[in-house]
Amino acid sequence: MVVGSGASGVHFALTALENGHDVTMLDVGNERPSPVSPHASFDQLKTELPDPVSYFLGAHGEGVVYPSTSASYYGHPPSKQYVFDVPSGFDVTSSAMTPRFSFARGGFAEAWTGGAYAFNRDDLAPFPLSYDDMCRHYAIVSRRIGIGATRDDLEPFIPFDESYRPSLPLDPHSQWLWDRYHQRRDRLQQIHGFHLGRSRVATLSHALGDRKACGQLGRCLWGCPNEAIYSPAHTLRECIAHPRFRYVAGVLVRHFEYDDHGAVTGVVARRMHDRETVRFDGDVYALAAGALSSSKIVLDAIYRHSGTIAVLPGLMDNLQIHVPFLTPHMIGTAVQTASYQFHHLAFGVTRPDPLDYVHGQITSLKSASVHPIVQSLPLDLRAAIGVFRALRPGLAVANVNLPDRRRQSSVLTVRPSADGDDETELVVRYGEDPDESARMQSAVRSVKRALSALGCLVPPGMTRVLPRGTSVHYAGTMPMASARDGYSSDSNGLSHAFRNLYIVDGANLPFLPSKNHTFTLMANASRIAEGLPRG
Amino acid sequence: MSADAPIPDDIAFECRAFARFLANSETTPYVMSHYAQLRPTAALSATTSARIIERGLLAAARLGSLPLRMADGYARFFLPRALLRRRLLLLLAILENSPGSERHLNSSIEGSLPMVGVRVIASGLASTVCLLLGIVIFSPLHLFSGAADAPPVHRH
Repeated sequence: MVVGSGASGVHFALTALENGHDVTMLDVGNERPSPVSPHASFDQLKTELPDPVSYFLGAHGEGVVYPSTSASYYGHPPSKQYVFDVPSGFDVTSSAMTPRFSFARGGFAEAWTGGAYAFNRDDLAPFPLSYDDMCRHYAIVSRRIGIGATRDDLEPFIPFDESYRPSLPLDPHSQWLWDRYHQRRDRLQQIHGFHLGRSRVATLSHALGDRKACGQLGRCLWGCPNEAIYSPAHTLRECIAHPRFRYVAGVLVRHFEYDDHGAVTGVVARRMHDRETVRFDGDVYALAAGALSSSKIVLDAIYRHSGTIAVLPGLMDNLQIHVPFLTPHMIGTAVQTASYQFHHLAFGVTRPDPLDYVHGQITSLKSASVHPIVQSLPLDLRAAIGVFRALRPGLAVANVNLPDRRRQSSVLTVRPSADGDDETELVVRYGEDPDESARMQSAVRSVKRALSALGCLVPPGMTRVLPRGTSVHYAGTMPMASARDGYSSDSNGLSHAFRNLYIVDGANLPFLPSKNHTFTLMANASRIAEGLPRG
Repeated sequence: MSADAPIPDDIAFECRAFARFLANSETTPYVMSHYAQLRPTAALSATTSARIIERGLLAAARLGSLPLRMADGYARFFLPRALLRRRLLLLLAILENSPGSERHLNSSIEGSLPMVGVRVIASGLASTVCLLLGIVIFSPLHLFSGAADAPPVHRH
């Protein structure tokens, strides 16, 4: 019995099916709308659609980005709203963090940018398992989803294996940065600890199964009509085709029931269309609803069983910083809007402690919403548009990610709903690491210096620290641990508190490296499924 | 306002003036219809338009391209959430996604680095002059109406 159809859930399910288990998956399953004009490029959508404004901005203008000091330089368009829609009655209060939730078929990865980075031995040192335990499952998942990668200077930090596929062709701006890096590589590495490589992305350069290769349409953010960018919904399709798989959509799992020996006896859910309570039974249960939602299910189970309000400490999240920069060499060239829109390049900045390694991705500006960017320039809008059009081919953003560690001050808990309706609301309290500000400043300084050494200009005052929670890389509330520690799980994801409950998603990570963790979630879920008891 | 409703003259006038300012283009019925329909969503729920400075900026914007540029430049630095600027951003968002105007806004200026550099510097200088004029004109009004910026953003 698997809860959730995101990156963890589907790879857990598929490996379990391949190992002879029967699998039932419970899911809210908000569905992706059908792509509009599948063959049209970003520009063609604006001239061919009958009502392009409603498509790009939404029927009520919800896609218009107004001034805000904390806003990202790009947001999620109306066509991706289904990814973030939350069912009524799922209540959350939070402090020092803006958590996001996904109840989509495929989860958050319906809106990701495909970054797929294996953790290395250093990253996995705080885990009760080794890289050797993980590497075979990285390869299994890589073959399933199709990751493009190249042997490059990131290999010491992001392991490479033969399961990867060719990378996508570079856009002109990324190509220039790539060439310039190789001219100045020694200085960048030795002085700045800066290593550049190709992004490892789950975007197809060649067709895989029923997914087509990237068509360079430039509409990645709005939803790839070729399905070249991997989504767990693709793996879910494989599962659904399997005779031993049952997919139950339209149910929101609230909690599970367990006996006095800690054995889970069933899962209680609310049917979305009529709000009726339904119960599902299984032998083994796997929580893969995402770190926050899975934690709420456990907290609710404890509350309903014993009346105890439990607390899950250790919530982690990657802080993200956007560093916009300009490459003067590209000014005056034509911008290619019909081009793969997301990042082609990734970088790492080494630190004395390998766990502090800083990871980032560089996205050169191709197709984009113009108005969120021009409003941030320190000019009236007429001048800002002119300057933006002049600089556009040379604009890019370095998205810097910082690692996070478990702390007792970052917690999840629940409290009974104020409505008195027998529900609870999730309480998220993120406790900042007092050293993080210094680490962030140091990391950003290093990245800026490296970009300058590459020949790029970093305009002052435009670096943005995104609101905590934006990364949606949540983790750490029920971590894998060698010995029982609260509601931890063992190295196979089996809960220390509940005898037949597996924690499959990011909740089980004991440390959150700066690299996007989605690929590791998939591989770890596959590893856990392979270790399920047989019979 | 429904999509088929006639567009009031003041909204049509505003839309045309803003479109010329933003994209050097005449507006189309398609753009104007969407602008009229979405214009209420650009307002803050706790409206600030009653403030004297807000009314002053909007009134100046109706006088022509130069006053509009001064008002927008002033708002960029001193009232970034001003209703004028929000309406301009709404129209810009519509224009960049509308047939006809999308090509201009989604393209780059091609040419040699010195040529493009001169255009950037000229744009920056013109913007700075307009900002300085805007400060002279609007800052007394702003001081008079209470210098605090708009309340926190809450979308309708």
